[in-house]
Amino acid sequence: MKALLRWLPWVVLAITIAVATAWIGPTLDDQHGQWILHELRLPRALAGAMVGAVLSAAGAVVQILLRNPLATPSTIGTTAGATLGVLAVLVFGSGSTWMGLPILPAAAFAGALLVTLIIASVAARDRARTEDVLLAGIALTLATGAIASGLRLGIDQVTSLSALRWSLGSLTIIGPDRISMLAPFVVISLAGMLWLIRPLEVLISGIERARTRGVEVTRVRTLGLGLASLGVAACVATCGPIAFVGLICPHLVKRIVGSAPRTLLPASILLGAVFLPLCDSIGRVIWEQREIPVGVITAALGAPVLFVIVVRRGRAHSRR
Amino acid sequence: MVALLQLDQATVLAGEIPILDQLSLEVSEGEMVAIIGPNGSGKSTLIRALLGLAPLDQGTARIEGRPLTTLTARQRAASMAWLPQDGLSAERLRVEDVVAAARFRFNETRQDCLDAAYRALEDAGADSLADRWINELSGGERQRIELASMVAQESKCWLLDEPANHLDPVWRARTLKFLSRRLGQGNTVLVVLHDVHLLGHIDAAQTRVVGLRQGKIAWQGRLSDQDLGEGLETVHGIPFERAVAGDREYWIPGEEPLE
Repeated sequence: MKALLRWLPWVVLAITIAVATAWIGPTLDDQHGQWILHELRLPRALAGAMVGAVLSAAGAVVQILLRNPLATPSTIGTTAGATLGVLAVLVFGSGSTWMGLPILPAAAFAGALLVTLIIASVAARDRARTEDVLLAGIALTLATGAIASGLRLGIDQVTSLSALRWSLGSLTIIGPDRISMLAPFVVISLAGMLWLIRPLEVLISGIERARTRGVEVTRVRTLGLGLASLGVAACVATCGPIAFVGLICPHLVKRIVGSAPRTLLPASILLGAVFLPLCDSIGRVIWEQREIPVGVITAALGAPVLFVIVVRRGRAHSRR
Repeated sequence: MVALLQLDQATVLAGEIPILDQLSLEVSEGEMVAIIGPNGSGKSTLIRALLGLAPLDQGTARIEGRPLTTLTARQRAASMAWLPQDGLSAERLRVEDVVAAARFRFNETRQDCLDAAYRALEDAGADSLADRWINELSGGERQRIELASMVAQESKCWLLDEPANHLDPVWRARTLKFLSRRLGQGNTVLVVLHDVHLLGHIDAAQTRVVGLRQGKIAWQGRLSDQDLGEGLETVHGIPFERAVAGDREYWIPGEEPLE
């Protein structure tokens, strides 16, 4: 209860900022403008907040579970796996549901989970180093990317163009119907990850230590990676692969409040919920003629952050 | 009485090579056992086998008579606390959170957990460090946090892997004295040590020394035994010479025969 009260002002602040981003951009005073605001920009801001929250939280959780500050859904291939799943559905067609399941998120989840579990098995090996996990992630990203490119050849030009636009990561295609499809996955994924905070508090001081303190590590790791993949897959199915949110947000949070999951995870969720709609709005105003997809903005911000973390770690190692 | 910890014909293989070779060992409640031996003799693996971190290829490990493999992680945590060699995490974490995390096995409120963590910190003489970041602490301060975490876990037996590594002589002595105190409070202690002389900080009569060589127990005895020198020679493969300074005796490795 106390914890809830402590977070409440921050939650209110984050939601306020996320919603306020809808007003960034050309002013919308006339009736047409009001329609754009309510039907396009507000759903976009809302979806951006949900996607940002999930991607950021998933990044924080994956980093703890794999004991690696660079492991995020986009660096270990989860995003790429989900992308492949979605493209496969676009190419091979089929209805929007299969056995009662919405097929797009289901395919995205299958792809995301497959790649994530391969990476988890690499990370679980006794002598797996940081580099091994990331290299395996790069290899899988490249492999799934190649398959995805091949698949694109199999579709007609119109679908291909929309697939390309989608694969840049964009919130433009979002309407209220997409939000209602996304919301349950977001809630399950976030609630599940928050529920794992207690074992995560122990895992942060080392996998083996956690085991000797009573944590069933395999179960927690499988659950955590599964929940993170589920959320990321739903986001990818909704708005394409948006990279680096899971890297930037937890990294900033760690510098301010430290790495303890009990603060890191909620704070990452809130920062992600603010960060992504802000990036989206920047993409809307930075270039007058055209909108820049939000995935391009986050990648442009995230790649340098990744670079800085790698260089810092290198220095920390050589100092030892 | 059932032994607290028991290894029976335990073998751990690295590929084809045995790191533990059909080793049997029993540790009773309240005992102080020091494991010595050259590098690669299987000291750390012995501890890891007891904790269930190094699965046995042959033989059995039992905790209070029950096979280790049938126990849940929480039950193991109630019996054994571990101080590994690798040192505290380099993450930016508050000391109080780190110590509180050692109490995972208890179902308790956050407040109770923090209260217990503070008591443990006090016990280890580190209560003034509670709201510091662990990545900004000195080696001696980190050691106090490690010991406080062990206290907070409230396990019956402490398994320590080279707890004196990377510490200055004063902190080595303090660590061993702390263990001695816990022994007096009813804990069981099993400690891997490179340097037998550190045991001088503990009452010699109650300490059992177990010497490993190539995954087997090569010598076993009391620290106060007259033939400790012989034991060291058996374990390390070279003769040791006895030297006396004040009321302490020291064992110094002799000249190695050149081949």
